[in-house]
Amino acid sequence: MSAEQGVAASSRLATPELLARIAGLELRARAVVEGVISGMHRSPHRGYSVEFAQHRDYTPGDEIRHIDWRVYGRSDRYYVKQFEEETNLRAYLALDASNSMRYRSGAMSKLEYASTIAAALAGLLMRQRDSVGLALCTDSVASFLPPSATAPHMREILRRLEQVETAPRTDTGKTFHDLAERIRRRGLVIILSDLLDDAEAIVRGLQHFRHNKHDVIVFHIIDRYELTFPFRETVVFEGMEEEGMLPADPNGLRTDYLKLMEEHITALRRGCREMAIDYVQMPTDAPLDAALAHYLADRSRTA
Amino acid sequence: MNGLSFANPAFLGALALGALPILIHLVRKRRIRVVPWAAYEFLLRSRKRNRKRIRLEQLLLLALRILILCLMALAFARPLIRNLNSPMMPRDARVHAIIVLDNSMSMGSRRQGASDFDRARKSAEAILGRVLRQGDAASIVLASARPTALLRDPCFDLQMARQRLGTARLSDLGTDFAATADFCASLPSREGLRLETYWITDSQQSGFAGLPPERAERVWRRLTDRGPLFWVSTAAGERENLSLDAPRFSREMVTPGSPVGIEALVRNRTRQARNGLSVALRIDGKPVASTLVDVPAQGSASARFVFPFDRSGVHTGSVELGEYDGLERDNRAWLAVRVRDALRVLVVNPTPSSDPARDEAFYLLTALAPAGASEGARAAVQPTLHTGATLADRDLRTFDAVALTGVQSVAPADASALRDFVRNGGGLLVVPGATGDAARLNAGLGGAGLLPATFGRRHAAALDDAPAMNPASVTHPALRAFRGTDEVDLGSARYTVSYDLTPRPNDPDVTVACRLTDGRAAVVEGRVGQGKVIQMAGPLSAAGGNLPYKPAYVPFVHQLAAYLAADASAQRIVQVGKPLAARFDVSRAGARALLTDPTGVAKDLPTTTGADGVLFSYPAAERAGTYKLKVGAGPSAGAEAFAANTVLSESDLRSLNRSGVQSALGAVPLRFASADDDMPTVARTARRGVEAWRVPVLLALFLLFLEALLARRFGRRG
Repeated sequence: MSAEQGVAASSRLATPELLARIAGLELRARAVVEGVISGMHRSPHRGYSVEFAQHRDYTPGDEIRHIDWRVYGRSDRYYVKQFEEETNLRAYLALDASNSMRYRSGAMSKLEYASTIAAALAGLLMRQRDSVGLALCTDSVASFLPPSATAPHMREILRRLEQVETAPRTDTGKTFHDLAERIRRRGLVIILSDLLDDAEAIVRGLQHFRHNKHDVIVFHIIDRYELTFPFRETVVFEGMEEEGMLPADPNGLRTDYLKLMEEHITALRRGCREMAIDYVQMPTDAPLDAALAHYLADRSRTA
Repeated sequence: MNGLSFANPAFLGALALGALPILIHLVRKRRIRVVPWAAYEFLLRSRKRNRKRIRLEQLLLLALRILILCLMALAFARPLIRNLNSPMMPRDARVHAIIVLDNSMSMGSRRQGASDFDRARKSAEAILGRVLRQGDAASIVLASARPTALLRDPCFDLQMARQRLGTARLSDLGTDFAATADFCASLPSREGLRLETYWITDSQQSGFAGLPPERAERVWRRLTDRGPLFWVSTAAGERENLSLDAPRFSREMVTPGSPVGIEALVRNRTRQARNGLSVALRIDGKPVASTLVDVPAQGSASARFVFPFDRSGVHTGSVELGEYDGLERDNRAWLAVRVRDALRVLVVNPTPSSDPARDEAFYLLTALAPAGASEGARAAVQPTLHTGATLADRDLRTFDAVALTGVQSVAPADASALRDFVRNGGGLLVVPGATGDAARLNAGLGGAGLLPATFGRRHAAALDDAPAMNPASVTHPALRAFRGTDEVDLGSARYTVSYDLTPRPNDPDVTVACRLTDGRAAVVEGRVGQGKVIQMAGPLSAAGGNLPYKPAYVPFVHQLAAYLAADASAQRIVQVGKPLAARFDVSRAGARALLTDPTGVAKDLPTTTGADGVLFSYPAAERAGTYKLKVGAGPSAGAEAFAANTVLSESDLRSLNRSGVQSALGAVPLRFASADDDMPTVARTARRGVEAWRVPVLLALFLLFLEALLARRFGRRG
């Protein structure tokens, strides 16, 4: 069975409709991770694995199961197996916590969708002993949790993700600059945002990460309605970030709106491509595990 | 100029439905829902860029929707377009319809199994049955050269009108639309009824020829001033026809055993030449001869027969075309002729001479009964010489013609007898003597009204200087045989003695038949009562010139005699529509006449007795064919026959179209329709206007399609 087939099979378990019925973020994330992992197991050649790098001295708090008992038998000293990624990767999950992320047309809001992805990614990374940090972004970095690979840290990440308080304003470009300033060590910056801001400012902010030698992945969380604008009747659109009210005939605006949206996405894609940043568009009606596994599979192929 | 009205004006209230799209818009505006939207900036920018366009599109669609609803409401109101010159007829108005049914011969033209008359009658039935309603009235007129009314007074019993219409029959008469219009304009009408005239006809072109356009317009105006005129035409496309003209005999007098030429002109009114057309001659009901003729397209050719009648008396017959065409009635031409035993001529010469060269009657008598002629020819003319001073001892009634030669003067009693003879149909030839006295002749014969010209100065000249007859001046039927003939040289005949002839001025009955080369009249003909008088300028003897020595002399004399003796008692070959008249001698005074028409129907009719004998007259022959007349009873009963032939112009089946009819009628208002049209629709359209609901419906459908198209294009659909 190929990775795609495995992902397809598992995606039946991690659809947004199904996940929306799971109350806790941790369980949701686990469902997603299970889906991703089951897909990976069925395709070991296509997946990724954790490479053994060296031993290090055991310190309290390390996982007992990672103690290398063979070395202990030969040397009577405790050594813990250390892996390449575990030792080098510091991942920063940057979650957009603006009001616009609360929009939903289907089972999950963009924020719920992004949080689930963030939790799932955190789980996956920590399985590999990578350190994961979390930054909640509004018009600035509202909260920042430095990276760590411990279980309590994971719980903290989940707690913060579950208790996100959105802010009415967003300034994505500026926030990215702030975050880039805060992250001293080289790492992987994973951005989860609807990127509804000036594309040029966003790209400049991303450039800052790249300038600091960070590896960057952009998960563009977007609602299906924002992509298709399927409204028929005249409605009043209310800005979710205190922009005001806008009565409009959707039929008359659809073509132009879709064109603007397309231009925006194209500008983001182009900016990301030019900076060797992975851009992944994730509509909120797509199964999370499938989308995630697709991306991870692609990444491992191109790495 | 047209106006607009509505059959269901109540539906105009539904125009308010046009406000429905606005109401829907307003209601929906009140119920408008609020949608939180994240990508607000994009929406805002989009709206700023498209605000004017969207507004325009919205207004355009709104206008289209309003228009569609208004048009549908308009369609339900059934708009009527009508001529403003004719006021709209109120729904409860009553109508008096004059139905004019053309029953002229041309209406017998058939195509696709039905004649124009059948089609016209169907239209008339449709008018009576489906156009007129209870309370309406009808008059029915048959249109022809002699218009007649089947129903003259307005008839409210439409069932009876239909029955009367069923009695209408096609006639053989010609067409005279103006006369019929005049007839219709004088029909009585009823107060309070709207008069409508339905003229159902083949619109034959010749039917409009009766009056010049300006007079025709006045006639038609009289009719249209009373009410609208519907011209219902049965004509459809070109109608082709073959026809026969009335037969003609080669000479005036027909005698037994003497072959006579009978000629009938075949007319081909088609676009193709007809070769080898079979034409047959039938005499007294029996076929006696046939021939083939080639007739060019749109041309004519004569069918000629030579037939010897074997016995005297009245004969009838016909010339028949052997080929069937659309119109049958004119494929047969009828003839009637009286064959006489002999022509009896009394030649009067009061001063006979033993020297034939000086005798005034010798050459005339010799020429009338020439020696060596055939037995039959001799029998044709029986001259009798009368040399007495007076005519008292002669019963002139036993002669067909009298020739006065070398007469110096005429006694009043003789003049009176001659006058009675001529008035009763006799022929008189007045030939002056070489030494005659013009004044005395003028006093005697002229005083009795027998001279068509006054004798004037006597001219005497040497033969070489004498004036000759001028055949080129011949215009008269009596001498038509000499017109343009070289083999009979009448032009070399010179008059050494001649008199000036001054024809009676302004007398339509007087004709100069031939002139001399010096321009003076040579032969003058005049009518007196039923008879004819021919007056010569010079003698017919050798004493007055060299005419008796010329080859032309014998035929010249015979032509004059035959013309004078031609039976004037009846004009036997007539045209349909013309009167029939015959004269009998006074011995049948007070007798009744029995006229049998071509259909076999006999009518008992009175005669009138006057100075010219017993006269029978019948106003018009309405059917083509032979009419037989019997006056008196027993073996002495007088018999006569007439042949009535179709009107020549009626065989020309060219019809006028709408513009042609309008042009012929002048500027009178006219509603033109085809007999194939639905009569109730035609009438309703004229009374109420043209139903125009299809226009708004089609327009609404088009706008609906346009609205759907634009809505899709503007992004309001799909």
